[in-house]
Amino acid sequence: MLTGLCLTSCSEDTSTYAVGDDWINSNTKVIFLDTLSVTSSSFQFDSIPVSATNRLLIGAYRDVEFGLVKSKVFTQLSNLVYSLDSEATYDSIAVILKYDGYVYNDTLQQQQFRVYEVLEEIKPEEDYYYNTTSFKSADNDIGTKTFTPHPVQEDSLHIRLNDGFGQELFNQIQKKKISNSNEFLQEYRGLLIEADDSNTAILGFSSESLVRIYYTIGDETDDIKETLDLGFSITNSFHNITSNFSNTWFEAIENQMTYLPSTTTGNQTYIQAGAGIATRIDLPHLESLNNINGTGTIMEANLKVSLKKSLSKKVLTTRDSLQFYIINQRSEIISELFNYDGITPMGFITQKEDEFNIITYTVPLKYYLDTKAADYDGDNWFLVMYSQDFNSSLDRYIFYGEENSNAYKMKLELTYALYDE
Amino acid sequence: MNKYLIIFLFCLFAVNRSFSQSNSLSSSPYSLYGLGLSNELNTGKTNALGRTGIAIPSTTDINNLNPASYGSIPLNRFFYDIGLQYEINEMEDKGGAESKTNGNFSNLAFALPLNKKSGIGLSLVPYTNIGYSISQFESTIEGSADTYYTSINGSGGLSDLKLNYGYSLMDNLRLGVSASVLFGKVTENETNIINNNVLQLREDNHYSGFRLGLGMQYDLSENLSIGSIITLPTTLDGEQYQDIFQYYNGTLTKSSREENNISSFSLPSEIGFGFNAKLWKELSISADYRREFWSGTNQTDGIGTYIDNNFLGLGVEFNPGGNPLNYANHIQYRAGFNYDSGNLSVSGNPVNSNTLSLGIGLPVKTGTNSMFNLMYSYGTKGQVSDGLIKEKYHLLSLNISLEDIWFVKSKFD
Repeated sequence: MLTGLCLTSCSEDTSTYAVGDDWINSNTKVIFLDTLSVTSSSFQFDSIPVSATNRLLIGAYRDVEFGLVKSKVFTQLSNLVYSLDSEATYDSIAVILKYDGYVYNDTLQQQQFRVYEVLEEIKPEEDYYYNTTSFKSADNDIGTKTFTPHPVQEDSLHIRLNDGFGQELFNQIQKKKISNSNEFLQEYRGLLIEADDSNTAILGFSSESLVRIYYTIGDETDDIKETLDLGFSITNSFHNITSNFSNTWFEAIENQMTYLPSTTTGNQTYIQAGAGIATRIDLPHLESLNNINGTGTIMEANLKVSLKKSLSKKVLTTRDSLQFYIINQRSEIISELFNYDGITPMGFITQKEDEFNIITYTVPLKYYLDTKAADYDGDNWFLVMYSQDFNSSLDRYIFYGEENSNAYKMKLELTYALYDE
Repeated sequence: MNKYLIIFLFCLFAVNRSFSQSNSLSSSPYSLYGLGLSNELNTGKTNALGRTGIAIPSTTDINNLNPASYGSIPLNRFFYDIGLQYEINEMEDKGGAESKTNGNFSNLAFALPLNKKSGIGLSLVPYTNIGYSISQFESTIEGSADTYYTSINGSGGLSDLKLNYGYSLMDNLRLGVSASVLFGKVTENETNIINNNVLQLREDNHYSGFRLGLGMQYDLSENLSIGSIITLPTTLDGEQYQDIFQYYNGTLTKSSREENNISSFSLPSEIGFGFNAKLWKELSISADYRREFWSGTNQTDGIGTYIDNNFLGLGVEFNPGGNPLNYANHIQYRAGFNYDSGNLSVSGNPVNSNTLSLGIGLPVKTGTNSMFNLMYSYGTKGQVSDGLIKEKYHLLSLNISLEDIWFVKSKFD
């Protein structure tokens, strides 16, 4: 009996009570801070890699804030089969650009594209094509097209090329002077398709675009229409994006270490994908948290960035999320921004005030701040805020800087717990 | 060896385990302050006698309230005492009422005579108990309109491992000295839920110290004894280990342990007087007065301030006597009352308690002093106003007080 008692006499605590909670002397104090300094600026990456993007951008438009931006495409053509029936006769040749649905700015105006022969071998510099990579092309075009784009109603854009160019290519294949890719690329390095400066839109095309030769095979009874396609090379096609920043804030840019503080650019910061313009965010003086009495820890940290929509016309669409990277003081990307769960956090829209045309993005920065504080070089870490599809779109964003007086200024919101006062 | 000793050793092991784990002997919010609630239960029959016993000798069982009593242990006797308790607390404040129960060991002790004039004993008794748990109370995140939730629970307590020595200077005068090692751990777990994130703090406060006590018992006559005790003040040294865990959206993002210096805790001096009188052959009464000089420790607590507390206890025991062959005639009946003015004052209101106790002593068999001492007490503490909590508690205790006779060869062996 005694041993039984010994064994069963362990303590049991079943219920919990609220009685006495006035007395609880919690060791913790939780504070919310949104006054920590944030310093933002705009800068331009010297170059961004554009290899093997699914989308090829062609077009140009003049933007009040960003100046003239142009995108042209260099493409190598290729095919597996180079043979034509000896009875075939050449009809015509065209570039067929397949719309992928992406448009930016005004597509109601007339646009003009021109096609040139490339005179150099199209090959990457150090394994990558950059938005700045360029190759020499012929002075005279082999085709132009003036058109009003209908990227929704139509699935492709046909640019008829010079028949002299087409006949020559046709003959070489038919007479077996070109019977494989190597022989073809010796003669035909590739094409450059560019837009006129007066264009008003950027159009996105699929990398499945091609050049098509139309020909006829005469038969005793009927003529048979045939085609030979030369596809755009997926690996050796890319867009080159250039800007003319005259009379914009960006005129001052010399290289990617030229930072334009938001306070000197109208309390705004900028993003223009494709062109490499991004917003850099510095969160200095986080050590000031240590000046709060007691030992504490960051429970939650969120950066809030509001889009200045009054400056973003409807045709200049924005997305529902933003991308973030960590860069060093030379604007070199150190890594993607990570979260504790290993997922790359994006800045998602958390607030939308249609009445005031305000969109606010929030990005969680707890992991960034923890690792920045722990890294020996963390003082030289900065966040870069960038658009989605940064190498295959020309989306632009204008944000409220940190010095705005309204509620939409860029700010860091911290929930900080002090546990040892 | 004896079967009682084996049981005792087994229980010692079990008690040690349960003491070193989170031993919640209390479920009172009053255990929030200081090092917890003082344990009131002790060995033998004194629990039912209004916790009085300063003048009671240890002739039939262990009286742990005065070391001088150990001088009266008869030769060749060996006493054990195993205490168990079960408590039901009903608490009420302006916000509502709640009830909570817990059960555990309340003590272990043994004692033996060294010679005709002196006896010695070792006891392990809880010194303080901590048991509180408060869930999900809401606080504001400073600087915003948002709130967060905190749950806190406390457990643990200090144990008193006491060596007692009593010596009979004269036939009617006994002196005693006790040396206590006080040790234990006070644990507080705090969980803060801040939006999707959790901050968990666990504090283990280890305290240890040494304390001396002196006692005297004097038999004025065969039927009237008086006694007194003095317990010396001491300081318990503390050290704290704080573990911090942080979860961000369910992922552990911080886990650290800090060793902090915490201030030591002072225990005050204590004096006590008591008398024990046999009014008739069947009826004896006892009364104790004790005072602890808490205000002299100059300590404060988040809840209130420490004040000197007075303790007054009265006990009555009835032994029917008569034909010793009749078991019922060996049953002892006890009743007691005590008043404790409390050592805590919350906004000027001392938290006092009153306890009424009833007890019965059932001999294991006739012709031995081994006894099951059952006790029920009902007490109240605090009040339902001025921010205090009114606590009613029902306490059941069982002391298995065993007597062995050693070194005496059985005549029929």
